[in-house]
This record gives sequence, structure tokens and C-alpha cells, in this order.
Amino acid sequence: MITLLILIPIIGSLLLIPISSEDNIENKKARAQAMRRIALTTSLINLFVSLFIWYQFDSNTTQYQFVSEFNQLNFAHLNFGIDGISLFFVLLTTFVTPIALLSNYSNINKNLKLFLISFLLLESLQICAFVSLDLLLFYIFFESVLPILFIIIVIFGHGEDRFRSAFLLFLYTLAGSLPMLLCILSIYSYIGSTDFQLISLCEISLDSQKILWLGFFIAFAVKTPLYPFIIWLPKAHSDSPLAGSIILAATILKLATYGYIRVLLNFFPDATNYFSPLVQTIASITIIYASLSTIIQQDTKRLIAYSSVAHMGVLVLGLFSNTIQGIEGAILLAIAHGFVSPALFTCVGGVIYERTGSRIINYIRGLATYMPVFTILFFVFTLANTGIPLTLNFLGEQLSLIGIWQQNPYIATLGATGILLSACYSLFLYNRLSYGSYSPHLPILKDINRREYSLLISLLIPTIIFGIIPNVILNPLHISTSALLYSV
Amino acid sequence: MYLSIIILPLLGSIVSGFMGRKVGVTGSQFITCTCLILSSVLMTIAFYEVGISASPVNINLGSWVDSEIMLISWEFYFDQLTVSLGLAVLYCSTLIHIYSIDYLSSDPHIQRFFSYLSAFTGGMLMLICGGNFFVMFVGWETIGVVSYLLINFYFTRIQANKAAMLAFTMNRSGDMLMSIGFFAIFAVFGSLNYASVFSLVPYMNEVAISLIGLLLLGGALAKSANIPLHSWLPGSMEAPTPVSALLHAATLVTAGVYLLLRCSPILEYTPTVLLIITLIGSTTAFVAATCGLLANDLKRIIAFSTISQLGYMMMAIGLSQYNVALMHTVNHAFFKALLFLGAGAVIHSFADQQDVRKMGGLIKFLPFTYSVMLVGSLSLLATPFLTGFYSKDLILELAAGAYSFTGLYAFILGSVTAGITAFYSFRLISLVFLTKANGQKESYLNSHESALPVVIPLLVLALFSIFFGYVFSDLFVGLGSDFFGNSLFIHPNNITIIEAEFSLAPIIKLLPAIFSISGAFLAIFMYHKTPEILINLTEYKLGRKIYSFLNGKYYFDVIYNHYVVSQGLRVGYKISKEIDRGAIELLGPYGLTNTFINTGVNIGKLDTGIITTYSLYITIGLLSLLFLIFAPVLIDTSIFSEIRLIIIYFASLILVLNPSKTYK
Repeated sequence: MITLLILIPIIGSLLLIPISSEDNIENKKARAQAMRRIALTTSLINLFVSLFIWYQFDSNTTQYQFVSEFNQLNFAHLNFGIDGISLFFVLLTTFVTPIALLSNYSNINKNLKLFLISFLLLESLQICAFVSLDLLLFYIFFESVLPILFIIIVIFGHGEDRFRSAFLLFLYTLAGSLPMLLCILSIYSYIGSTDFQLISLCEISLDSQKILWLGFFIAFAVKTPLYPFIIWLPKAHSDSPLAGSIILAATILKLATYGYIRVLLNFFPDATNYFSPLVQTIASITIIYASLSTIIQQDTKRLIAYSSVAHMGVLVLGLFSNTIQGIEGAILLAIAHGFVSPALFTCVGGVIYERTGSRIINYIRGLATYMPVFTILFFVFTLANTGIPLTLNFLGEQLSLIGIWQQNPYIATLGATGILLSACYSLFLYNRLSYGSYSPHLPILKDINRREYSLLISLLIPTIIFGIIPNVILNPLHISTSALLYSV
Repeated sequence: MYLSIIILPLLGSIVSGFMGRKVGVTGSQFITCTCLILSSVLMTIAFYEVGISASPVNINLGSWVDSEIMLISWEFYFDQLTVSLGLAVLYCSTLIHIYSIDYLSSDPHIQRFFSYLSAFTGGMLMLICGGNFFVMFVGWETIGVVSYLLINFYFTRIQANKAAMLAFTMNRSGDMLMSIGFFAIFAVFGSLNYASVFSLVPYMNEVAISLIGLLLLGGALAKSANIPLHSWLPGSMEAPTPVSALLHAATLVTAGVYLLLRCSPILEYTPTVLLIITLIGSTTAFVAATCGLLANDLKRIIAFSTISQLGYMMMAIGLSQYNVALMHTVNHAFFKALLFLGAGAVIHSFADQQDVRKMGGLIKFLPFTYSVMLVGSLSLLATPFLTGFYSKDLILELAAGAYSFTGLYAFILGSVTAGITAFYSFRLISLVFLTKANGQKESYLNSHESALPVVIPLLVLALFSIFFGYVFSDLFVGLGSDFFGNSLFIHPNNITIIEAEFSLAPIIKLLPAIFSISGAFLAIFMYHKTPEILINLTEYKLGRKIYSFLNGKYYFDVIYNHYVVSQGLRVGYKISKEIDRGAIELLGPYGLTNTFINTGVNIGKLDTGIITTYSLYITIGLLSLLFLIFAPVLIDTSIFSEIRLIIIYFASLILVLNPSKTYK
């Protein structure tokens, strides 16, 4: 089953390769359309396969499920499986990939094949990272998304600054991951294996745990991102194409979330306990600093990127709260952020940017006059970003902070400032763009078209549905998260 | 039946909002009003069943959040508190819906407006019917969001935008405190259900309970516009008048009061918080009333009066007289809605003029509106046997009967406030209706009594403002009435109704009435007989200072803008400029790039092309090599595992750190 999940996008991209793009113009359009269709269909099939996995998933066991092992390959222990935690990250990936493909469906004509193939491959690689049951493989797939993202930003991004952004993204993450590689090697030399199940069976002494923990933490902190490693994210977001931003916000950042749970909480529980005051401090600094600097951003995409950083801070607080509520809340927040952040990027970086060619807040005003449908959707997502009840973000935020309060009330209070500050920046953005008299410097803009509408609606529905019945997510999570804290 | 009370308004809102184009203006008005009327009828039945027959209803729709010990359900709870407040909410909402049919008939986006109004009513009902803190919070945030939308109804106006954002963010700061309160409640009680929490309160640590009480109070202060989180309410008068009546008089602002009433079992075990509530409430009542004293905007005067009355409610809560606070909330909803709707009728028929100085003499043109405004004002200033009298006067008596410091404080400030209330109410009446005509002739010629949809709500509310208190006071606040059952909890030590009824001297009981009467007469005297005094007042330096101080609303806005908002923005700018794009860049990517480039340049500089330099390099290289080879012999290197590597590192650092001009 999981093999299918990984192979389908690869098959899709193989299908794309033989279609040549050199021909007369008439033919070229039809072929481009065909290529887009193939890519979209592939990603949708993958979505249905992953939904089927969710349906088949047994939420009453701590075992990895749908395990598939490849012993024929002897250079690595290729071993895939899913548990409650990775299930939702896989689902998020398969859900967001069609969204990303749709988001730049019509405005990329040059190098279209490269674009589609890179997103399909990205999907495969991310799923691999989430389902691999081997630390070394996890590292390989964790890093393997970087070259593709680099290509996406450099080739399809806009602005002269995109080379620097792409290099920043690449080098920051790569440099951050080096300690992780060293730690994996030393784990291999201690234990003789990098298999998840074997590592979790071994007792590692506290002193070694501390060193290993730090190595992994740096890698994940860069990817999350936490202060002081955040500056690559706003840059990468503002210069990458819309689809890149969507994938980056929805799933690439979640690789770190997954890493925290899978590696730090699972393998180094004592070190996690030892270092959790440090993490909580960093996370609360991240929340407050990122929120305050979000308020003054002028570039819409940067603003949302910074708000992502603040939300990630809350998420990390939940993860390191040492309570079930906190960890489950953090996972809920990760999923919710995976829906809402792409939607906001679509709103400002897609809908508005395509129509006005500007991402500067000051140039745009009064969109509600000509784009009422868009404004309604934008408003709902703005509210979701601030964590209004009935959205999944609310539950994620509240559960994370409820968890951390039981560990440390002061940190929870600092973290809760995010509730106020998120309202300030989100609402400022929405109010500034949508309301006020219509800017005389803008042409008359068309309301959103069918593609954009279905894009936003398909992100809106899960946000609300899961906000009202989160138990469909929480039920499969219970056993896996309990296994992190208690021996089940 | 009970669920349809909540669902009907939401249904109306959805139909009117999402199918507005299909159903049309009349359709949306018809649908939302019908839904509201049906809902009110059902609420009346619920009031009979739950309230008068004393049989609370609990509806559990299934699990919402289930995470370890945290079990939260979609749970609705109807008890006496819910239905009493629900009655006021639904009656006011329904009447305001009907009123809006005519009031907004010439505006665009009517479907949107009715959708918002109904959504607001639905949110408010969810708030008061929620069976645990989370469901209550859903309603709480819904009304916050819808109030943002309603204040922003004329979304092209910058003033409306500013007011809406101020209202939302200020409420949000209260929500933040309240959320922290939820975290604390969960940590202490392990549950967020009313029933579990309230039954465990007596066994818990008092410090923890006080903390929870304070945090919940923070949320209530923001929603109920009490000092220091009150400054959003006058600004939100930018909304259409029905909105002001519905949100900022009858319902939204009572949400905070409701929260505290609901949490009475928590508050009763924290004397500290009760003390703070009384102090805040009395201060709010006084400060807001003085702000309204000299305000010139018709709606703002009533808005300040709302804040002042909310202060009275808080005062009653702080004195543990929850049933009196509830009675005042319900009464206030009726007469304040009446005042706002009457003001709306005046504004609408008088060329949208809101400045009371440019009105006058309207008694001849709008006799009906004048009568209902007079009824509202008289009820507001607790004229005996009108609705307001039964609760407001009782609050002051109870304050005096508490025989405590806070009671005395509340009594003195409350009585003075009663006088001020009378003054500004009659100032409003005389400036708008009684004095000489100060407006434009054109406006007078066009002024007219309103249409039937406006008259009916005014009439009904006027009747409520006169009779509601008389009919219901014995049920709500009568001596020994057990109407509220378990829904409101008053600790036996805090029951002071007997003292208030039987032990007070007549002069103390009459004092508020004396103040009110003298305030009213003073207003009429000053604005009719000797208006020169008031004009001369601003001639003096002190008088002008007082005038601008009161009209500047005690400079709360200035303080917030100057010290909170702009400082926050400044810090944000500093972080962005000096940390994100400063320190981190310098130590991170930018610094690294520069260092590498500089190193390259430095190494490049070695290539001078002069033979003697090269021979120097060769000699130094040879010497270093020799040193590297013989170093372990010459120096004791056992401390370092590999001295040679370290030497090479240091040598390379010399090149890297060698300062040189930045390469561009």
C-alpha cells in the first residue's frame, strides 16, 4: 500500500517525460494541458490511495502498519510503515500536492514539464520521509527535498533576489542537518542499526542522549524554524512561486514537526525532559518576536511567512509539554496550519498577486468592492489563522497551550500572547487589503475564478469539519501519542 | 425545541447570507425575522418550562474533543440563568430585526446586514446556552467576529474600519486572558465542564481559584467594556444604529456579565476577586458617566451611559448579588435598546444629524419618539416603579447594606453616578427635544415620524421599560425567591438582602433618588434658564481643561495609542530591523558571505608577482613544516590529541579573520 503511495507520483512523472514540448503553438497548448491533467490526476489518485489507507488504519495498536520491507536492496534497510502520527503527515502531503499543482495551474508555461515533475517527485520524497522506519533513510529523504525546492525557487520564482533566497534555504537546512548526520552515524556505531524499532528498544545513557539530542534539535530547529534560524523562511516564501510556498508551508515545515515527535520525543525522552526548558524558552521567544515583527511587515507573503513562524512556536510548545493534550494539540495545529497557511498564500500570493502584480500591502485597498466572494473566503481564513473556535487552528492552539500550562504556567502565558498578536496582524492584513475605499490606482479586478474558488473551498472544508469533529483525527493519534509518554 | 432556539437564527443567517441573491431583500428580511420570532416564541416556552417550572435541560450532542482526560462535548445547558437572559436577548434581537427593515431600507447590502444580525443572535444564544467553557467560547468568539463585521458594515469608511479593528483586538486581549483562564481551569480541575468545575471549587486552593477568577474577569472586562478595556465601545458607534442597539446595549456587552454570573460558584470562593470586581465596576460607572456628561454625539452619550450601567452590573456582581445583576442586565437591555432605537429614529428623520448641539425643538416634530425616549430615560435613571428602578435602586441599597468598605465605595460612587446619569439623560432630552431649534430649516421640514416597523419595536420596548420590572422583580430579586435555583450561587455569608431591606435608614435609601432628581432638575435648569454658565465654563482655564479631559474620555485612548500600540510597533520594527535583518544576518548568511569573499581577496593578495615575496613564503612554509614535524618532540602535546591539526586551524583562521575592505 505504501509502496503504491510512493510509486504513483513517480509513475506519473515517468509518463510526463516522453511528452515533448517542442512543437507548433497549437499543439503546445494542448500538450501542456495534457501534462497538467496527467500530473493532477496522478496526485489525486495518490490522495485517494492515502484516504483508503486512513480508512484501513487500525487505531488500536502501537505497531507500525502497512509495513513493507525491501531486503533485495542491500545498501540500506529500506523499510516503510505508518503509525498514527505519520498517517496524518502523509495525508497532509497527498492533500496539499494537488492543491499546489492547481495553484499554479495556468500561469506557468515555460518549463512546465520540469515544474510538474518536480512537484510529483517532491510528493514521493516527502511521503518517503514520513513513512521510512530507518533513521538514515529519514535523513536522506529529509534532505532530498532540498535540491528540488532549490530548482523550484530558482527557475520558477520571481524577483532578482531569488537566487540568494534559494541558496539561503539550501545552505541553512543543509548546514543544520550536518549535526544530525553525525548523530545518526554515532547512533549507528553505538547500536549497530538505525532502525526505528531497534533504537527505541535500546537504552541510551543520559549523557549520550544530551549530545545526540542537541544534534538533532539543531537540524529540526532550522527547519521548524525557531529563532534564531528563521530568516531563510520569509525570504524563501516571498521569492518562490505560489506552489512552492504552499508546499513549503504545508509540508516541508512539518518534516521538522514529525522529526521532533519521531526522533527527539521517542528516542531521547530523558534528554527531552532535560532540555525542555530550553526549548520552551526558544519557542516562546519565537512566538513573541515573530508575532511582533509580523505586525510591521509590508510584503503580504512575508507577513504570512512570519505568522507561520509564530504558529510553529506554539506548536513546539505543545510538543515539549510532556502531556498528551499538548502533543495531540501540536499535531492538530500542524494539520490546521497545513490547510490555512496555503490558503492564505493562495489569497495574497495567488489571487491578489496575479491580478495586481503587487505584494505590497500599501498599494492595495478596498478589494471587497469588486471581489466579494474572494473577500469572504479570505476573511474566513484570516479568522482561522487567528484561531477562532470552530476551526482546527483553535483546537490545536488551545490544546497545545493547555498542555504547556500543566508543565509551566509562565511559558503558557507568554505563548498565549500569540492569541492576541495573531489577531492583530491577521486582521490588519485583511482589513487593510479588503476594506476602505477602493484604491484609485487599481484597475477593476475580477472576482476569483472557478479554479481559485475550488482551491480555497477545498482547503476551507477540512479546516471547519475537523474543527467541529476533531475526533476523527484524534482517535488514530491516541495510541501513538500515548506510546511516546507512557509504555503502552 | 431547545436546539431549534439556537439553530433557527443561524439558519436564517445562512439563508440570508449565502442565498441573498436568490431570496432577495424582502425574502431575506422575511426569513430572518420569521426565524427570530419563532425562536422568541420557543424561548418564551422554554422560560416557562425551565424557569417557572424549574426544570433545567441538558442536551449532549456528542463528543467534541477527546484527548486523554480532556473530554469536551457539544453540550447545551438551559437553566434559569440561560432562559432569563435568553428572553432579553431574543426579544431585543427580534425587535431590532423588525426595526432594521425600515431603518436600513435605503442602504445597499441589506441581505448581508440581516445575515450578520441573525448570526450575531445565534452566537449570543450559543454563548448563553453552552454547557461547558469551550462551547461557550464558540459563541463568545462568534459574537466578537460578527461585531467586527457589523461595526465594519460601511466598510469603505476609515472610521468604521478603525473602530472595528479596535473592538476586535481589544476583545481579543480579553479572550487571551480568558483562554489562559481555561488553561488554568483545566490544570486545576482536569475538566472544562461547568458541572464538574463548579462542584469542585470549594475543595480547591484559594490562590488558584483567585487566579482563575481574575483571568476570567479579564475576558469579562473586555467584552463588557469595563475599565481598563472599555475604550472600544464609544468608537463602535460607527455601526448602523440598530447594531449599536443590539450589540452595544442589549446583548454583546452583557456577555461578560453573563460569564461572571455563570461563574458565580468560582467567584464566591475568592473574596479578592469580588473586591476587585466591585472596585472596577463602581469606578467604571462613575468614569463613564462623567465622560457622557459633556459629550456631544447623540449615540456616544448613550454609549457612555451603557458603559456606566455595565459598571453597575459589575458592582452588583462584586457584591455577590448575582440575581440583582441579572435583573439589571435584563432591564438595561430593554430600556437601553429603546434609547438607542429612539436615537436612531431621531437621527434618521433629522438628516442623519448626530450632534446634539445642532438639534433642538424636535418635540413638536417627533412627539412619539420624544415620548419613548423620555420613558427610556426615566427608566434609566431609576424613576420609582419604572423598570430600571427595581434593579438599579436595589443595587445601591445592597451596596449600602453590605456594611463593608467596598459596599460603601460602591454606594457613594453609585449614588453620585445616579445623579450624573440623570443630568446627562435630561441634558440629552432637553438639547434634542426641548430647547430652541438649532438645526437647519431644511432638516426640520423633512423630519417625520418613522414608519410602522420602527414604531412597533419602540412601542413594545417602551412597554417593557415601564412594566417589566414591576412584573418580574418579585420573581428575580424578591425576598426569598428561589427562582434561580442552582444556576446562581450566593455564599450564605454574602447574602445581604435582609440588611438592605430592613436595616437601612430612610435617608440612605432615598439618597440615590435625591441625587437623580436634583441631577435632572439641574440639567433642565442649566440648559433652559442659564445656558450662559456652561458657555462661560469654557472661558476659564480650569473649565476648559475639565471639558477637554472629560470629552477626551480621560485620555485612555491616548495612553493606549501612545504607550501600548506604538511601543509594540516600535519593538516589532526593532526586532525586524536589528535582529532579523541585523544581528542574525551579520552572524549568519551575510557575515559568512563577506568572510569568505574577504578571505579569498586576502589570499589573492599574496600573489604579488615579486620574487622576493615568494621566497619569503617558501621560507615561512619550510619553517612551519619543520615546526609541525618537530612540534611533538619540542612541546608536550599530550593535552591535545593532535597538535598539528590545531596549528593548521589557527593558521587558516589568521587568513579568515584578517580584516580587509568589504568586497562588493
